[in-house]
Amino acid sequence: MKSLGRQKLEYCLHFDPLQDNGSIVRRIDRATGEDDRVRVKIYDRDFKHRIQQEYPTIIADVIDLAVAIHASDRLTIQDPHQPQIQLKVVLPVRHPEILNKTTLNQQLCQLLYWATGKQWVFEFERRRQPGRSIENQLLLCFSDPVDEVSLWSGGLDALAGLYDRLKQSPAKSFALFGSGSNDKTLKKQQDVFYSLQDLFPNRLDLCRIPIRFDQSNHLEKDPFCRARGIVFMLLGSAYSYLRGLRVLHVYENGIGAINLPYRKSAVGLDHSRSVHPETLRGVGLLMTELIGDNFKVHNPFLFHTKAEMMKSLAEDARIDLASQTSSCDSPHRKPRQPTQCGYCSSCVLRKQALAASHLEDKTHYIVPHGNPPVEDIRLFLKNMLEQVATLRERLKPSNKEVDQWRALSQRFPELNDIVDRTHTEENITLLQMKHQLIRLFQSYVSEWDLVEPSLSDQFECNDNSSVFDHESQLSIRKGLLSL
Amino acid sequence: MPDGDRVHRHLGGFYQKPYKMLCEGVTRPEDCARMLLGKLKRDLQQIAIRPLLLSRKIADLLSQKIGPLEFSNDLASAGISRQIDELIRQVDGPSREKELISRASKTVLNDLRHGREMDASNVQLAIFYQYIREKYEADFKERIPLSNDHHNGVSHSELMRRLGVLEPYLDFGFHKFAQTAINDQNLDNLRLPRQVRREINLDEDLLAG
Repeated sequence: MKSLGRQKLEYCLHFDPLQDNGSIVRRIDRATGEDDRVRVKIYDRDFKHRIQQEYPTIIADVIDLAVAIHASDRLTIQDPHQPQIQLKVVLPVRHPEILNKTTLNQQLCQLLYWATGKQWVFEFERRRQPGRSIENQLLLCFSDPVDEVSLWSGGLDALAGLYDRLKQSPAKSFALFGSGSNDKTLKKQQDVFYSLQDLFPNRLDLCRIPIRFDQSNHLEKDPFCRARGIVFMLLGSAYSYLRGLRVLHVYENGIGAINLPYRKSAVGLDHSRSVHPETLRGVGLLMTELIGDNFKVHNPFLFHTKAEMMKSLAEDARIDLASQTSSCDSPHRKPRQPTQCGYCSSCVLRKQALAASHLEDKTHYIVPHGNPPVEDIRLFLKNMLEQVATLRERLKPSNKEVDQWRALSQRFPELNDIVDRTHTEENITLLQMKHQLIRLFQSYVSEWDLVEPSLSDQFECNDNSSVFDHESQLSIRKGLLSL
Repeated sequence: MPDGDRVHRHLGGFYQKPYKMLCEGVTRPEDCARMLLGKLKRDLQQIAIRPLLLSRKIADLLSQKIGPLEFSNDLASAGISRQIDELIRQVDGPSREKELISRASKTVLNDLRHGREMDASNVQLAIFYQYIREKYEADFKERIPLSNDHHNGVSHSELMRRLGVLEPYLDFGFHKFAQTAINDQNLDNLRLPRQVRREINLDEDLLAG
């Protein structure tokens, strides 16, 4: 496997036109002249669900752009201690006159710099080849209109958010958009969707567009892929447009979306900005420039904790949907072991939310149900608790919001940028947004106060009895299935 | 989303010596602080020239705005924050250092928004001092593992208490580094604070336990 760990910083990613059988990407290392080629493919058949008779060519460009960003980000690894990687992406498109506009190009590069820490430059060439087959199909039978399009990851936030929206607006229909390159993730998206469809017939629709590399094992890839959120949102926005809407919904709890550093040792992109309010705003602005019409990416749960998002799910606790979802950052693939680790930050937040919303957590995790790894399983929990302690300390000394905001923003000055830059997107004033964020952090701290002892216990009592419990549960399940 | 958050497990090898010294607890606080500052000085000299140059550019930007009510205007402050981001984005360099100078600048901007009075000529000093503090906290203080099994069996709370004792010495050192760097506009001549020599008391029984 070729390593990218050396001090070489400039790459040119040259894409052939993206066809049905994919696109050859040349990754040229400017310093060494090394020229590697891989194929990247998008499976876009599901984009046939649309309201336009002819496929909008600008949307085909949005899809190509998303694929190019995904591939370029994955094929270049940024070490935060080294100078920033410079990426030049050359991509043939149908509308170079739009994509090469200075303002749009700057917006795109700034957004990607914010999300990935890499310096991006784009050169859009005119595409000479005909489009993919999906573009050439003249639609005679249009898809049913939908009221809302939302991203569908197969995670707990996506489920909780959707469930809440379905319950709150009984007349609305929803189209879900999923993507990814992992078969298990795609299957998870499908399975949870089917379960929901049984509960809410004729109100749901699922579109999934996988992106995959082909014959690329010889190249090391960026495991963090910080552009993932942008890629997912660009494709979701394209789908929303095809369904006749100008808004894409993202269901993500505010704590996870803002994703403040746990301790000061976490700097910049140590914490992902995938669904940060500024990222959503950036993608919305970019789409607006691309389609020439107002477009917005909206998270209706920005001011909700994960537990608060799950209120509707908790009210219908008889229906166990939560355990079908996956939150884990690093799923395990060992035989006879649960896949979700139970100790990464995403798993810990999931456990916290389920406990705080009084929902029985029926998920099987490595911790506490399996064989724990040798590393410190309390690492993420301790870091998260340290952040909770910081928030508590900042919020407690005064009941006045002015003082609380001063204390919060002194420790987390990035909160000012969130308020300044996104309050208009939320249709609220600066003061209202500060109030909402203070309330969000207060709720989060209160939830932890309630659940911390029981949650911490899980990390102490990892003995064989729990392994036995899990194994016996598995065998019971198998027994039931065989009946 | 907390999606692949990177959490640092260990303190880097660079700071192991002051960490162990602190855990062992036999060295005078001022000597322990000197050891820490010595490490920080070396690190700054290797890596902080771009943050220093950036601190000047950002200070120029902020200084122009220092005046009646400028920073209490949220819209104006939001604009300044954007300009800071753009200045930092345009400079090449390790993203970690760029993030730290950004954090430092935004902290100073936040202070100004909340009414901190500052002379225009002191803005660069405030930013670069804050950068040094952020660097110390990111690379050492808040990177110390959250463990109760530290070197020499010291608990985390005791370790934090000992670090608290060092704080005045460290703060003095950060100021001295920042002041020298601003005066010289480079980092070549950073000096550790003078060693405080304990006066020898001829009547003291050195063997007394």
